[in-house]
Amino acid sequence: MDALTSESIWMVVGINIIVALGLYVTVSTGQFSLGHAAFMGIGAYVSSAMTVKMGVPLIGAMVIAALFTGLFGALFGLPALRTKGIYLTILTLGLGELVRVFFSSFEYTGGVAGFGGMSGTTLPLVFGVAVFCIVFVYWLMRSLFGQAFLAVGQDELVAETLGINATAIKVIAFSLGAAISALGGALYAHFMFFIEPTHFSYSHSVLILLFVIFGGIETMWGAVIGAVILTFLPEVVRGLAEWRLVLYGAVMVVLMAVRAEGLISKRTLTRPIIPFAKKTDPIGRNWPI
Amino acid sequence: MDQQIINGILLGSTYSLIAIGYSLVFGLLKLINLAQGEIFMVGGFLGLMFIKVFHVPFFLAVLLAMAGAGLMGLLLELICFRPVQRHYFLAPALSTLGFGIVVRESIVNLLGSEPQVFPSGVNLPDLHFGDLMISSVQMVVLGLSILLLVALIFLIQKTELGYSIRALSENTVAARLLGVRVNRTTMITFFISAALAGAAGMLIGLRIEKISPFIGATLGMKGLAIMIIGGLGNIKGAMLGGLLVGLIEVLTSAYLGAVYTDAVPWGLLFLVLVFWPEGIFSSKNSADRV
Repeated sequence: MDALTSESIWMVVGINIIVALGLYVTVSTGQFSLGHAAFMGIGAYVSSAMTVKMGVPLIGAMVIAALFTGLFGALFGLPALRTKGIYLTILTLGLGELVRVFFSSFEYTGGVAGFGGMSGTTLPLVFGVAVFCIVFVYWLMRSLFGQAFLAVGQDELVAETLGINATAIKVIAFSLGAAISALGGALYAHFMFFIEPTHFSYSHSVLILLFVIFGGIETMWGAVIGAVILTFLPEVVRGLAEWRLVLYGAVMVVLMAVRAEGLISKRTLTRPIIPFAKKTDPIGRNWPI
Repeated sequence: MDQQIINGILLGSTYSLIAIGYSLVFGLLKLINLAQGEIFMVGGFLGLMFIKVFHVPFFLAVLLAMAGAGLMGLLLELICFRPVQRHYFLAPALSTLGFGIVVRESIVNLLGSEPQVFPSGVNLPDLHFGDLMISSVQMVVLGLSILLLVALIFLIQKTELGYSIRALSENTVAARLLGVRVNRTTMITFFISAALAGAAGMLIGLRIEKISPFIGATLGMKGLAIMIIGGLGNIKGAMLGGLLVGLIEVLTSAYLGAVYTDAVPWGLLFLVLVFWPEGIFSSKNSADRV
């Protein structure tokens, strides 16, 4: 079990938790994003440019990167949120590609060749930020804002009749999710020492989505647990590292057929798991929360 | 400039084939098949295998690659669509995404992540029209694409199977009542959609002379954008959208720089969704935007 004692794997776990929480905030309003790695990438590039080229301390660079990415997320969200469901998901996929193309041609941060020279991520810092994000998202989802997120995620029309401004809520959720993922991206860049545009492509976005889906999209703990389990699994089981992504893909296929709500649901947190029990309420609705 | 337009149409015809594969499945099931890109890639690799290992002539290899890809489409339908719970709208899409990852990463692990050289199996002279030049490879690619597109239009418009597919995509319940065999038609549609992707993979391999395991995630995903640009679930829209994107990509590459070509379909997708949310070539029957 060398893996469990190695410091870098714990750092990766922390970073993945942060990024997965970012996606969870967006997903909680019913918006599935296949481009969250783009927000991570923007956070990574902005923070790296600040620490390496301008000498800003890492914490400050992270905060600025998160704010910048949050703003970018809101700007992207404004037109994109005119679309729903699968359209939005494909648009986010497109966003990921556009961001990758942008950084590939942006010479200030190295273009295709990548950008290096970052350092300074320590385990306490990663865990500090991860705990901060967990506490923040926990508080957020219990606040009126979080309740509005969930209401919009449940049924936009009903939420609007209750006086919730669904568009504003969706833009806020998108922007917040982007900002949190940017924090993870900033830590990622300063942990890897080197980033290139392909790090933040489609396949990374899929991985982030898998963390959230695997753990369970109904509660924030799903995102946390999903990130922890899926990061550790290939390290702990020998010989699995090479086939890691195949395993992830197979997990996704099986999960969608067997338990589409993910490993833990809201029910799991309050009641013991009853295998094969019906998961609907008396009128047959599936309540995510 | 004229040469660029010809190149654009040639590229676009392959895009059309990929986009139609998405469109067929979406039209029928209102679901997105995110493994289409990987089927496209597998088609290319199958063709490569038949040519290199079994020394099959090129045109037979295309047929075999199409059949192989089609079988994969059937497998996909059995694994990712039939058993999947529908109460999360994204569940089938995510399942196909997982399927795609398994396929791609298995190929990466077994054959390596480097692109494989694709032998040219075509020995025909190049065509010249004054200053314009169409290479023999481009001619074969264009000819096969047109042949497949015409065959598909004939199949959809004129045959009983085509009537079934169109009836199903309009209203599943009514079609079932009128005697359409839903499961069988769905499976055949998956086969056709995957076979077209397989042919496209083969043709792309022939044109760019190499095939990489990651081509599905880049080129294949463009097909998704093209499908929406053309109008969701609209086959003619997918054809025209493919040509349009191919044309703009080639012109972008010629006048702005090759780095920006990957941005073309996605940038266009943004514009289309903001200004023409139903797609450029939308039909009356196109689906809701939910």
